[in-house]
Amino acid sequence: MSFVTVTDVWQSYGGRSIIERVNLDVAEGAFVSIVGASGCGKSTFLRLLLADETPSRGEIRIDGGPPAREPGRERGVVFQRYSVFPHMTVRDNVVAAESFATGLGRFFGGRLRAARERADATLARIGLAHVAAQYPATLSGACSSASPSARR
Amino acid sequence: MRMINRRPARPVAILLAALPFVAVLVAYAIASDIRLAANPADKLLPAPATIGTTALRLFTEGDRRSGEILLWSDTWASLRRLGLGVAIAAVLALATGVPIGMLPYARRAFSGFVAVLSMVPPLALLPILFIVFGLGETSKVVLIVVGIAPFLIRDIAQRTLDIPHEEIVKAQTLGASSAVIALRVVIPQILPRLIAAIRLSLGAAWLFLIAAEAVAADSGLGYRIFLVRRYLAMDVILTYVIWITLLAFLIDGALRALSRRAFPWLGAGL
Repeated sequence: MSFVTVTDVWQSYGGRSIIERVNLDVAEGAFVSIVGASGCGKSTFLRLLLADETPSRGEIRIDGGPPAREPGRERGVVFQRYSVFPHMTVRDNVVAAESFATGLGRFFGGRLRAARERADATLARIGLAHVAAQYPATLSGACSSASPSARR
Repeated sequence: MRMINRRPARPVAILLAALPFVAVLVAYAIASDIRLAANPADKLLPAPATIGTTALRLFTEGDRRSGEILLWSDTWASLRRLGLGVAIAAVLALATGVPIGMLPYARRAFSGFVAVLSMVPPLALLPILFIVFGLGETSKVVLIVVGIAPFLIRDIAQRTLDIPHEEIVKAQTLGASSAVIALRVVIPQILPRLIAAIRLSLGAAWLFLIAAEAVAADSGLGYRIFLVRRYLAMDVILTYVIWITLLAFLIDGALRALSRRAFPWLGAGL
């Protein structure tokens, strides 16, 4: 039973066709690499998977659900750049993974304390505990690559 | 070594920074001296010493009629109008600019309108404002708002659009609604940009304030300058002009310090 089904997906911008007739079935837990020459449509395909764009033709389904029209919780992404929120500390970035789904986007009181403790535990597990209270701009390259993954 | 790679040592750097100011002061002193040597009663370029004594008098002595020190009451009246006008314009910029930047519906509805609004010359509206709002505080504050709000709105809208799309997508994958994206992603990053835009608008805000006070007021720094111009009291005028410049400089510095303190994540900036 495939988890991600890509059926006959075409994408074009203006008159230019970028990807045509893409079909893909990925089982749950599988690890897929997409390789290709520069400009062959890898980023376009990832944007379609993310539901950041809609394909001109065809559909993409996750877990048999309807094709998505916007990114949501069932999709996760770590971007090459701008993958953390620069105005929040590393710890708050990790807490945001849980708090953004609430009505106001934040936790208060006891819930906030518990979320912060969970975030600190995650950061300790991946070795970023020493920068938990710093802002992303001040991190070294290695640290700033690790932090968006911590949020996932 | 190329000119672009040469850096002055610290003492030289300080000297260079002070040089233009010193040059202006020296030029003024010389010009004033020449005029006063020809005509001691000359009122156009008072001697620096005269300006100094006048300034001291204005800052410390009360008005003969009312007893209050006019310069301080003028300062307070002007700063009150300026503060109110800038605050209202800032709130408008946030309330209009962020939706224009975030929501395609709002952008279509308002961005053209705001663009046209920003082309209306505010000083030409001044008589209309006086007719509609009277000659009191309201018309002056409204002029400041009308003068700087369109620029602030357009700047905030553009800054909102400049927030990397990746951050917005990231927030959506974490389950954020439009409101949460506005509250937790957009507005916290926009606020320091708002302060920067306000700092850039303060020059225009002072302009509109002084223009409004010059035309119809009974207190304020602009009012006082245009009042004493009839007596050619250049020493008073220059004192007030230098005082306004100093106030603007201090306010700009205070806003920059506020931005650095409140938003430490921003890093280097103007």
